[in-house]
Amino acid sequence: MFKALSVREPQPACADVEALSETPVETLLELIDKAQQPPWVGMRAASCLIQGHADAVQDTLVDWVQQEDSRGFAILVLNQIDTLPQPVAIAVATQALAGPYASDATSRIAKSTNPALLALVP
Amino acid sequence: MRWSASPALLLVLTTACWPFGKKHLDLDTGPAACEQILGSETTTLSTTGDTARMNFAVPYATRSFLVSARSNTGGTIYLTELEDPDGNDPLDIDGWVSQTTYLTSAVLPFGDETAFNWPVRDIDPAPPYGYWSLAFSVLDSNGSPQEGVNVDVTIHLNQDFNTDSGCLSVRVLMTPDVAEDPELVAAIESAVGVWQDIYAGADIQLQPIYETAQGMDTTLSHPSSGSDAYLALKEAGDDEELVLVIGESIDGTNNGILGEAGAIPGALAPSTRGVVAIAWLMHAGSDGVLDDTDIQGLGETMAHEMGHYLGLFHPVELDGSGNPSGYSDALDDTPMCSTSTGCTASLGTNLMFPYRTCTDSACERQDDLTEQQRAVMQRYSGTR
Repeated sequence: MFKALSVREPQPACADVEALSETPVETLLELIDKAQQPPWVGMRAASCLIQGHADAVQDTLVDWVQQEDSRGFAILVLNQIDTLPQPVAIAVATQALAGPYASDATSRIAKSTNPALLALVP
Repeated sequence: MRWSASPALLLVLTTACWPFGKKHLDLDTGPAACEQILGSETTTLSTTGDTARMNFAVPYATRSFLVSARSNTGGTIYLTELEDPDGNDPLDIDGWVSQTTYLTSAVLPFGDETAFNWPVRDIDPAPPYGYWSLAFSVLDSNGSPQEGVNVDVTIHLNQDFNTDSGCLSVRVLMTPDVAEDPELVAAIESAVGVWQDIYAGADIQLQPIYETAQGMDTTLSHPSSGSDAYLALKEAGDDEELVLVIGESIDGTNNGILGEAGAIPGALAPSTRGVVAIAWLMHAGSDGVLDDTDIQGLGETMAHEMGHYLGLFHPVELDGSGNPSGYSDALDDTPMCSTSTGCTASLGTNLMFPYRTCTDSACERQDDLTEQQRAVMQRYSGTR
């Protein structure tokens, strides 16, 4: 999976990447934790989790918008906030607007088409 | 409708004094811009039968020419014929269409614009002077030839006969949010420095001109799909200046793209695909900060994608598991390989290798270029 995600181009499809593991969520989380280089391996793994497994990793997504050293992941999840299941989106947005990336969160959530998210923006 | 240079024009063009003249641009940013040695002509053709055909004059001592063409109906356009003054097809178009090696995407139907540079490699002869002819076909959405379609064609001629070294002017355009972040701008300028060093290894002096892409959203669209916004960016500069635009990401729904070139090779004339796009966030990783290691990777991506724009293909195409898919570039000195491990061993440090070669914590530099890859870059008509 590391090899597949490290390709420069074309971008691998999440379905193809995840097919390489019997436990894709766990493997993606492990890559996020351990693969430091190239930087896009972790970012692509995070994007696959956001796109396909947000319910299962809700706590992780919330952590990303709260931790001091995860602005890259935070921007990823905030950019895709309209694709998240509603409970996950609300949890992420609420914590993001109160976290270290409040400015990033405000500008991105303000572009949402979800009234429930827009209502959270101060 | 046919277009051709008159004998009088050909006579003028074949004199030692290039009629388009030379000029030096005075810029506030960085060193002097590259010398302007390109001339160009633009015309509109119409397809008759299933092709749009034209003749054009190549003056004495022309190093290379680049044809940019666009069908104004949105039909898919591709090069079907090329004939030199002696009536020969120096490209052997039919041969390239059927091969598993890539020399130029111009012979394949990809979209409503195409670009073709000649010569491509060091083994391809410099174009003899005289009247050349070429033809395009335009296909509709069903793959059938379209008749009576207008095709806008611009031909750039390069008369800098030095193919051992060159100069490349690139407008580095940052989306407004990027341009307003001093730390990000500094990191991008450092990455351009990495790119400059890589191209210096090919004896190409890269001259960046930094600007803001006013009004452009930080989520960039795919250059290979074309956009009016990219057309406007290209039109805002001289044809000779290539365009690299940097935003946060490419394709907001598909965030993992690092960079993309509009075409292989890319056009010099204004084009909806006339840019290289780079996504900075993917290079920054989880912390969203471009450190020195990230900057090296970002600079390599800039050099890699612009390499495509100059006409370079991946030395080998690999599948999702890293194994060769059976397609490769048309260069003799990029090693052939048959396994994932073998390809990484022989090509892993090559700038145009499609995978970044890393362990979990460190990556090898990917900045090698073979002699023939350098020759392709030198022969791109925008390299002066």
